Parts: sequence; C-alpha cells; structure tokens
Amino acid sequence: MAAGFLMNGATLVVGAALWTGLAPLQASVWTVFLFAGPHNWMEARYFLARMPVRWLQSRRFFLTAIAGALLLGASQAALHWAPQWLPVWNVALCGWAGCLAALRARELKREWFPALPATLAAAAFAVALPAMFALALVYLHPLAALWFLDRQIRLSRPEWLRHWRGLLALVPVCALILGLCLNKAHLTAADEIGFAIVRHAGAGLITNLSSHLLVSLHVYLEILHYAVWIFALPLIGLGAKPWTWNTIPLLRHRSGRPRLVRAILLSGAAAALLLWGCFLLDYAATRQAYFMVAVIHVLAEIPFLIRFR
Amino acid sequence: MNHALAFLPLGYVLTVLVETPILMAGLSRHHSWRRRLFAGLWLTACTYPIVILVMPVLFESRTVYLWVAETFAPLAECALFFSLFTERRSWREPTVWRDAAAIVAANLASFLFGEWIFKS
Repeated sequence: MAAGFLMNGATLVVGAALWTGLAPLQASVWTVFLFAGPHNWMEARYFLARMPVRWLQSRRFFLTAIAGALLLGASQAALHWAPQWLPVWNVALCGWAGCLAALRARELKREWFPALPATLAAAAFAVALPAMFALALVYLHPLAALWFLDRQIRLSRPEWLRHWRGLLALVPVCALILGLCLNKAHLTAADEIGFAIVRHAGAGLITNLSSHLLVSLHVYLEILHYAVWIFALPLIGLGAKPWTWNTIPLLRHRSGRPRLVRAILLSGAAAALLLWGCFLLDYAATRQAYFMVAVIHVLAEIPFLIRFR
Repeated sequence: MNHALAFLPLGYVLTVLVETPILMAGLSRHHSWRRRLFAGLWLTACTYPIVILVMPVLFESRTVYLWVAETFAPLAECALFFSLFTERRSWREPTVWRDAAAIVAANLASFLFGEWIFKS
C-alpha cells in the first residue's frame, strides 16, 4: 500500500510538473474546470468529519472561526468593487487568524504571546504590500493541503511518513527544475482566459520572473492541492468512502446536526454540478466568479490548520 | 517598499543587538535573565515590522514618521511588556517605572543608532 502510494504520488508530482511546464494555460483551464468544484466538496466533507460534536471549551474558537470566515468571505467578494479596502481586509484576516491561534493556545493552556510577532509581521506586510500579500495567499494556499496531508498521515498512517516526506522533497526539486527551464520563457495569452490566468499567477506584480514560470508554478501547486483533497485525503483521512456519510460524527451522534450536515453536503454537491454547467456555458465568466468566492474555502482551512498543528 | 522589506531581517537583528543589552541591564531584578533576553527579542519582533513597513506608508514626511514611530514603539512595547509581566505590581512601585524607563532607553538607543547609520 505504501509502495503504491509512493509510486502514484511520484508519478503525479513529476507528471504535473511536466504538464504545467509544457502547457501551463491548458493545464490551468482543465484542472480548474475538472477539480475546482469537487475539491471544495471534499474539503467540506473532510472538515465536517473532523468537526467535534460537542464544542465544549472550543466553543469560542469555533464561533470565532465561523463568524470570521463568513464575514471575511462576504467582504472579500465586495473588494471586487472597492479594491482600496484590500489592506484593511488583509489586516482583518491576520487579526482573525491571530485571535484563533490565541484561543487555541488558551484551550491547550499554553501562552498566547508566541503567536503575536508572526501575526503583527503578517499584518504589517499586508498593509505595506497588499497586492503582494494577496498573491502570497494564492501561492501558499495550495501548500496548506500538503500540510493537512502530512498531519493526517502522521495520525492514521505513521508508517507512511518516511515515504511521504521523501515524496514531499520531490516538490521543491520539480519547482526548481521548472524555474531553471522556464525563467526565460514568456507566455503570450491569446484570449481573455489566458490574460486572467497570467494575472492570477501574479505576472503583473512579480516582474523578475517570467510569466510562463509563474503560471506553471501556480498551476503545478494547484494540481497538487486538488490531488491531495480529492484523492489522498479521502483515501487515508476519512475512514470511509466520501459518499458514505454515516461515519461523520456530527451526523451520527445524538447531539449532532444531521440535517445541517446533509444540507451542506447536498448543496455542496449541487454547487459542484452547477459549476461544471456554468463552466461549459461561459468558462471565462465562471472562472472569474469562482475565484471571487473561492476565498471562503481558503478561510475555512485556517481554523483547521491552527487546530491540527 | 521592497527595500524596507529586504532590510527588515537585518534591521531587526541590529535593533535587537542594540536594545537587548540595555534591557538586560536596565530591567528590574524582579525579572529573570531569561525573561530579559526574551523581552529583547520579543518586544522588537512585535513592533519593528509595524515601524518599518506600515508607518512609512502612512506618513510621507520623515520628521512626522520619526515622531510617530518613536512614540509608538516604546509605548506599545511597555504595554506589551506589562500585559505579560505585571504580576500584580502596582504602577506606583519603583520596579515598574524602572522597567518602563529601560524600555524607553532601549528604544532611544536604537533610534540614535538608526539615525547614525542613516546619516553615515
């Protein structure tokens, strides 16, 4: 099993680097079309499975997490019309994450203050270079999936950890090879979708790296992120098939919220189907709308990242 | 701004090198050596990014920037230090004033050092 995981993983890590290096725009279009919806659903499924039935002393943590994710998600969509508020939004994000870290530390009866310098440094960076901070989130967010997988392997397949860490070491090697091969190559986007992909990868902001390299790196990380959420984490982290819901504690337990959990999962599945339909109708507009609201799933990861450190 | 970002790690180390000995010597005996060393590292880590990255964006005039930054840094560091290490001491106690004076002196020294570097 570990050998199979290693072989499949290595094939994916190397194959994705090749594909994104050779055809980054096509890779971006196809991966977002195929996997954006399903990976969001899988994330929701995974987090629901990891959510405790009774919050007890974590009540304040979860209430802050949910309220913050909803507020920040809604206000982020509004930034599309008022981009001058981006620094404020960035600071709010850093403050929210810092609060969550402090609340978690209090739950574990640890000191809150070690998290403060990192929170303030991130907030300062977010004010000084707001667009760069947003771009950093775009590149760091896919890496969060690798972190989740690392935690999950440590929990449920500790004997795989050595193989997994070896596989993980391949990622920077592939990224470095992409960097060496593509730093002189520039992409010429022929249509609206191409321009959007190049802009999303930060080509307008980072001028000392080639647009081809930026798009390839971004799509490469996105593919790894999707693969982790859609294949690796369900395989080892759920303890059941993703469509078998009766193992979810929140659904199974007497004090759980079975209706709410079913509603979230069913509406999530419907949204993924709808997203496919909209992509088929108008890919460019759907992609733009998707990335406007996709921050919700990035925000949802933050409390769990802090919780499962 | 990219220059400020590139200077941040070096500036932090230099500030710590200037401020920590003053805090080690100046903070009251009430605090262990370990805590004094921690204060030297932690207080600057909290305020330095704001002074270097945020304040230049907010204040274009260098004079205004220096006044605001050099008032903010010691005040914020005193507030952070006392929020962590008050241990039910009253503000009337001389040790509290000595701690505050040590933090202000450390910031003053790093400001003068920074100005000397800036002008030379």
